[in-house]
Amino acid sequence: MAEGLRAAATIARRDLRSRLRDRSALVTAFAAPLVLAVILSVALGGPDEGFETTIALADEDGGSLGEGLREALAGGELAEIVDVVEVADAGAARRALADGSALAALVVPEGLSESLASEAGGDLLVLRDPDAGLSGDLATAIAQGAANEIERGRLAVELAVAAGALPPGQGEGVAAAARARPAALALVDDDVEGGLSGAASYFGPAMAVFFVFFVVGAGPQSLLRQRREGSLARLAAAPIPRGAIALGTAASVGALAFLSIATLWLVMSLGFGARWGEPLGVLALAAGVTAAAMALTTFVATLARTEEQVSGWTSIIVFTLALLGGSFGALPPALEPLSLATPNGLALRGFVDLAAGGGLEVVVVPVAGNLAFAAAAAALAAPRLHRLVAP
Amino acid sequence: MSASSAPAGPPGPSRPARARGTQATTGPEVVLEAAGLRRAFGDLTAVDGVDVRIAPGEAYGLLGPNGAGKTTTISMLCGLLEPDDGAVRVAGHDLAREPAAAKSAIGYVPQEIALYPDLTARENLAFFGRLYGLRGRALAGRIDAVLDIIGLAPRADDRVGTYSGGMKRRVNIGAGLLHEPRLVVLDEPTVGVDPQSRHAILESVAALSAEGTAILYTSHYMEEVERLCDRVGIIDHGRMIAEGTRRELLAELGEADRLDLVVDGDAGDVAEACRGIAGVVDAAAADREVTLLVRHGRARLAEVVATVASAGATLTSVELVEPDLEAVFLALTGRALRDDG
Ligand SMILES: Nc1ncnc2c1ncn2[C@@H]1O[C@H](COP(=O)(O)OP(=O)(O)OP(=O)(O)O)[C@@H](O)[C@H]1O
Ligand SMILES: [Mg+2]
Repeated sequence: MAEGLRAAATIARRDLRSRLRDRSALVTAFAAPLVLAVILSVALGGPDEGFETTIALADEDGGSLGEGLREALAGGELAEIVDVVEVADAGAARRALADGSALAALVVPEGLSESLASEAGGDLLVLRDPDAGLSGDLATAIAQGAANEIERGRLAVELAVAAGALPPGQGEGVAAAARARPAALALVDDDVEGGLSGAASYFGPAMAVFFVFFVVGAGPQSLLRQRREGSLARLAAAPIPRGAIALGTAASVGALAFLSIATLWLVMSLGFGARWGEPLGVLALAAGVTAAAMALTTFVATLARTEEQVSGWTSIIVFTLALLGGSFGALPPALEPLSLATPNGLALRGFVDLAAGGGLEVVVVPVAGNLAFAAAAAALAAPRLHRLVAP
Repeated sequence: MSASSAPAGPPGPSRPARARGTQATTGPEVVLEAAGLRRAFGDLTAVDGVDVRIAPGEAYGLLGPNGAGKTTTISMLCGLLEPDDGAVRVAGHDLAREPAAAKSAIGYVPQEIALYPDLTARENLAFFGRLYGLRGRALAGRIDAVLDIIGLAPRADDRVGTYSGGMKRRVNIGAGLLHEPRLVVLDEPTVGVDPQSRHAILESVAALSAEGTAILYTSHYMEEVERLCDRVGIIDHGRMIAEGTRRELLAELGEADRLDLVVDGDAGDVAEACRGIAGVVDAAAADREVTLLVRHGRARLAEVVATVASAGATLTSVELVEPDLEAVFLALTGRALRDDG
């Protein structure tokens, strides 16, 4: 066991050393993601093209509470990213969500100001379009934040789901999930950024996640090359367990993936004012998506016969996942559920939530999702894994 | 390859001057013992019941044409490939049950250049040495010693990718010697190598053998095996068709001589026609060359020349060659050992 780990460490060091001397590996791990992240940030993150959302406000009450909400939404940084459309009542708010003219809605029921004043309490409704995905989440968080701002602690904020948008029962989950993310609110007030730094906070992680697949995909590919060149035979003749070959290679590309992500993180933060948020969360997301990428690319390599097949198939799959996952820009809201089925989309969701000021809890689902993805791909790869390290 | 290992005297690798006669088949002590090795790939039985025994310090040559099963046999001996049948013991350890102990006794030199081109020769050697448990000073000392043996100390810190083919071959061999194995297995180590490097490689193998390392050497170059090896196994279509010392194998030929003809015309027809000559034991054609095994070859020469003409070909050259392993292979199989130069 100890001998095997020692051998794996020896193999990992050798592999990493070769990789760091390979220009194309360096381009994949460092130059390409940085250049693309900068280009996309500058191109899509012009000063006026940051995050924007529309919130419908139905003030059935017409009292002081509605007035306060209006002011909260129109004040400070929120004014730059939120458009408020006034609608007549809850029904109109639901219609605005349904036709997409708003992504979240605040409903102040009639008499709420009064009942609050009389200490009787009452509900302010926050509605969201469950299909609006991430944009809906943010709009909801902003709306909730505004509500909290004016009635901190006194108001039960209830999240309802736009009528008919979700099958019964599922709405509960959405509501619960939204309630479970109070930290997002704090961030809404202070930290949601538009412009270049906002784009850099998005495209930095987006490119990091995209290129991680190529970085770790080079691992199984290098095993195939070593088989063709014969060095794998030499490893197989050495008194080491075969598992050490796989483990060492995985450790090497895993380390390179972390270096790649860390470099993007550093450069985008120092150079472009990006804020990726909670460092532990960033690390956890990086680990999750690296595991998923490793298992997926290994699975692809176990299916293919030649290195050309592997790199061809890997490219197609990685580009598809990146497009679906929003690495080149968020998908239209309707496609966002699909996006969350990809490792890229999951990780990006986590990165966006972290950048928006979320705590570690916002990465739990993305990291767990990616680990589950990794486990599934690893299970598929397992029966043929020995082929990769056989000489 | 180092100056110190080059013997004074006649050119060409010299047979080490040490007591011969320790025969694996008779001595109780063996470094390698393989019995009944068999391996099939689909319908093709690449190795079909091969036995090999090699004594400490013995140089054993495995000779056979392309595709005979040499690499497949070696792969099973070194633990790269599971045999379908048969067992291997190395230095007293069963390869299947104690793979680490058995593999530690072998220095494997693959047929391909199995090195990392991005790394220097020294880094390559250090890597493979570590896989065999060498560390620290012991490792550094062995790397220097091996660099000396392969004569590449001055270029040790250049990347292997910048080396010539012959230099790569030498590092390839060096990587199998780091842990001072009791048995060094070399799979066609001189393929595609310039004559000078080839000479140097044969020299260093001879030196290893002289120091008491057991050698398993495969080749389809008969001369190399004749020069280096104490004992030779001839393998064809996955079967060991003959085994013994050079003298023992040549004795199987009886009195036959080898006649090498080069003809203008159909070599196959010529070989066919020559089989009819009295005293011709065997005839094989390859390209424009015809190889004959003839009893009392000199006396039959005139008849051979006439037969070539009657087969509609012109004789370009004819050579009477002393019997060698090539002739043994021809006698055993009716085919030439190899069809390249
Ligand atoms: N992995 C494999 N799959 C299928 N067939 C194989 C495989 N390895 C070897 N063979 C076949 O087995 C036979 C023996 O091959 P092997 O490589 O052992 O020959 P060899 O004596 O080493 O030849 P050479 O002198 O060309 O190296 C050949 O017919 C070869 O095509
Ligand atoms: Mg071979």
